[in-house]
This record gives sequence, structure tokens and C-alpha cells, in this order.
Amino acid sequence: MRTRTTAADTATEPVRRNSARARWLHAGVYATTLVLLGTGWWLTLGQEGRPSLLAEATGRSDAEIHTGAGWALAAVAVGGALIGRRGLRSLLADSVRFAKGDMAWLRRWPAAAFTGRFAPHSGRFDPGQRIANVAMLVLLGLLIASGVGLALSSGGPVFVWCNLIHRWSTYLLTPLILGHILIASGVLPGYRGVWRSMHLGGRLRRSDAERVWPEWTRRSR
Amino acid sequence: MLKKLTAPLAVGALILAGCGGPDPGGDGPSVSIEQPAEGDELTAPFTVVVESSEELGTTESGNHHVHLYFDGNDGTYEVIESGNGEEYEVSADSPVLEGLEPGEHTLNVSLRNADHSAAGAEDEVTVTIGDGTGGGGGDEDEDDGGGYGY
Repeated sequence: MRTRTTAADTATEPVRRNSARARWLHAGVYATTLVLLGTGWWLTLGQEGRPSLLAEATGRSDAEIHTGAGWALAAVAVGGALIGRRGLRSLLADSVRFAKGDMAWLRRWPAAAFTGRFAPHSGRFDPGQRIANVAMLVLLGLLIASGVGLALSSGGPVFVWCNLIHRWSTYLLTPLILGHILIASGVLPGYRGVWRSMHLGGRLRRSDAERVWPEWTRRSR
Repeated sequence: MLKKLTAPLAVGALILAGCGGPDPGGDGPSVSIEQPAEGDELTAPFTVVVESSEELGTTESGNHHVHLYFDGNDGTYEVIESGNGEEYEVSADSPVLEGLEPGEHTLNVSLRNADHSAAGAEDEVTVTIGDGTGGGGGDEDEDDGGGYGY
């Protein structure tokens, strides 16, 4: 029996963007990072000693939760890098690349985020994503390394330098993560539906994938 | 691969070994409550004076600081990070006074490393938290009305 496939069927046909391993690693990173950002900003904004909701719920101080979540993030990062070596290599290779049309894509991006009419690009990640990937990897690496330095030194001159790096990495990473959440949530019309690529099986509609990653979607048929 | 990592790891370990932690040559760090005295009655705001063998300062300075709390509840605390022997005022809206009933309580202090981990020195006194207004524990300022932040 022959079945006919219409254009509408193809558009809604799911395409898998991320493996289960990548999604679990992503979930581990964001769960720990959100706790770290929450407790870190709570302490930075002068609330130290006044338990946050999380501290009240767990019975631990915000500083203790922050330190514990920091070690958990370091473990997730090291474990993820070891278990997912190939994935990390391809993430880096697909992020650290520049193409001729990248500037045109970036110029059209602010409007395209609302209209969905992005300039073409041929990568697994769009040019904006590539910049964000590199910036987030570098800043998360600095945060983890400086956090480990803070925990191991406890005080003194190395602590002072690690604290400086830790703070400034946080100041730079926070708006990046907020922007990432805004885009990934699909609130902006251009990015509608993309949240599925990292959740619930990692499959999103082909029409959504084609809008954001046109060449990658064609290659993944 | 391991050989390539050995040198940077050794340098890092040397740097980290050279900072933080108690002085191995001394008797270890110490902290004591100079004011209030055992049995004092306190009403907010009140003054606390601590003495420590370590230089106190902000987290940014990398120095030690002191956590002050009541009844062993070290999840809710005041941070004392300036001057050994200097007066520190605990205000009426301090988190340590939230939900604290008038009556007898243990006032704890704990010396902390810059990263908030315990430095191994603590002290405590038993005080009575009053229900009134004005200064206590030697604080002469009696014109600041209001109770605790509960």
C-alpha cells in the first residue's frame, strides 16, 4: 500500500537534534548553574546570612548550597567531557568556525528573532549561537576553575584573584544565560518550537528546525 | 597526556598550598566574644565586640570573617568583617533576630575563612534577649525605638 506524504506532513515530521546523552548533560549543567546563579546573586546582593527559600527548604546556608552546587557542576563538566569526548569535539568544531555570510546573518538577526526570516547559514549552529556557545563555554570554564580555586584556597592572595575572576565571569555570563533562556524558551516568534530540541526526546518540528538551521535540517533528512 | 598535565598541576598545587588555612606554626586561629558578657540582657540594637587571632576583612580581601548567630543555628547569621576589638552593631532588622523569642539564648560566633568554611574557632555566651527598646550589652544609644524584625 502506498502512502502519500504532503508538504504539511513533512513540516510537522519531527527531526532529532540532540542525543539523550547531550540532553542529560545539558540538564545537569543548567540545573546546577541555575542554583549557582540564584544563590550567588543572593549572596552578592547583600543577603548573606538571611536564608533564601532554597536555604530554608534544605536547612543549609546559601554559601554551603553554592559551594555544593559548584562541586556538582564541576563533576558534571568533567564527567561530561570524559564520557562525551566526541560530542564535545564536534560542539567545539561546529562552534569555532566563521563563514562569509555570518555578518549578514547577524545584521538581520534582531528583526528575524521576531519575524522568523533569518538570513541563510550552513552550520549546525547559527552564527549567533556559535558566538554564544564559545562565550558560555569559556565563561563556564573560568567559573568552574575559579570556583575550585576559591574552595581549595579558602583565603589569601590566590583566593582574592579567583574571587575577582569568579565575579566578573558571573557578571558576563548572567546576561548570556538570560538571553539563552529567552531564545530557547520560544517566546520570540523566530525561535518558536526550538525548546523541543533539548527536551522530551530532543525532537522538534522539521519546519521549526528549517527556519533556524536550514542546511543542517536538509542534511539530516 | 599525563606528562603534559603534571607540570601545570604541580605548579597549581604549590600555589594553592601556599595560601589559606591556619598557620601551621601557631596554635591555630582563635575567636572570642568580648561583649556582651555572660548573662547580659540585650535589646536591639545591641553591640557585639569580638577578638580574633586572625585579621578580619571582606570576602574580596581574602581575610577571615566572623559569623554571629543564636542557639547554634548557623544558617541564619550576621557577618562581622571589620576590625578586631571594634564594636559591631546588630540592628533590630538583623536576620538573626527574626523569630527569636524574648528570653535566654546562646549567642554563638564562628571564625570563618574567606570562602565561609569554618576556620576551627568558635565561642559562645548565654544572654537574655529582652522585650524592650533601646541599647543593650553596653550600648548607650537608647533613642532607637522598635522591636525585632519579627
